[in-house]
Amino acid sequence: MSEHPDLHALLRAELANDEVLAAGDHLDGCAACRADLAELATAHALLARSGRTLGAVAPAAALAPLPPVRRRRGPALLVAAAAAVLLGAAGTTYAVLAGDDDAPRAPVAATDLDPVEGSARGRVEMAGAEAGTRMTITTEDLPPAGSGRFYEAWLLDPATNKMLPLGTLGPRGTASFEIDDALLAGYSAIDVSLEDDDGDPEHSVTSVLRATYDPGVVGS
Amino acid sequence: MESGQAIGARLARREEAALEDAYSVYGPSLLGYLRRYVGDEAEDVLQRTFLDVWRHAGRYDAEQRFSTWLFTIAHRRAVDTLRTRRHPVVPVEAARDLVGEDGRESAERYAEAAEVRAALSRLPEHERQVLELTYYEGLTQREAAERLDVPLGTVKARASRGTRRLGAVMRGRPDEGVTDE
Repeated sequence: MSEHPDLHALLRAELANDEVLAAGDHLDGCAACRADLAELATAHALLARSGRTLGAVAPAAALAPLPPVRRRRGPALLVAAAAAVLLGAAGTTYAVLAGDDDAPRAPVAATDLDPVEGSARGRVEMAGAEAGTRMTITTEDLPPAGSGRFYEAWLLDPATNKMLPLGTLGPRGTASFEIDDALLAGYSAIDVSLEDDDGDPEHSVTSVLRATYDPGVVGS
Repeated sequence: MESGQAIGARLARREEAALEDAYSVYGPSLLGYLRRYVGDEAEDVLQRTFLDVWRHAGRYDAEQRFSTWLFTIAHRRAVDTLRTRRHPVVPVEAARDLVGEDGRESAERYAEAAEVRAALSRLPEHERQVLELTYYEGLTQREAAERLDVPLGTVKARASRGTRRLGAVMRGRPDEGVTDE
């Protein structure tokens, strides 16, 4: 019998025509090579398809390091956050949506919302309200959230990534909230995120706009 | 390195080290996938994908193939990214490939490719290196021998052994069929 052919080279189409044909003849008479070929063929097929799809891939060492992950809050705090959302909806704590008839007051602070993603811009004005602070958010060029999505405003403490949901932005990309001063002073940034209407009360991680403020001026 | 499902199970228990493992095993393939659709933003989208992975880790179902789960999240992130762009700079064909049925199919195809790539990471370094050059970088065995500066026979032996070992890993029998020299 002829010498066993290089089956891996055969599968990879790296043999010359006469070598391929000779390998074919050899396989006709060699059960061991046929068994070998069957074993190699499956793995070759997996590799060839994977290689064709991915092509050259950067080594893992070339990837940027992952940012530190935000630890999920413990169950008790999650419940508290959910309860806050419910209370907000009932209007008893802080989320009073735009359209009430409070007389406008001069803003005590104003800050620009800068784009995190996309090119929308916006402004946040804070003014003293009857109790606490009224925060008014206006935006420009915010693309429509799309079906099943909405924009949500949050207070953020960038140092700890602690977040407090304020409520949704209206269809014109505006919102107004009355917030307890002590709560407001516990944060120093305002974040607007794009959220899926999926019942998940947590931040979606897609921040669109962000502004910082000086907690010291709140309530002054 | 363990299987994707095992990494997923550790992630579901919220082990941070599992997130790093998932990133090092699947990150390169995910980055390749994202580059195709979101171009220069791929690295950012990859980071956001892994933040999502961490956030939703508790929802990973160990019955599901881990790579499919990862690529489903990356696909959603890529679609979000294109949606929020005001001036799309991706080729129209790539964008078309990303949405609807085509988008799900290509995410699945990449997930399958990534699964093989992940299995490759479980091979001994020498074998993995030869298979990467010949299958992912398009080199012949002879070119691989030149690149690695080793005899052609060595490349052939490593390729053959590595291929068999990869088949065994993919079949869930990593210790079978290959004897180290």
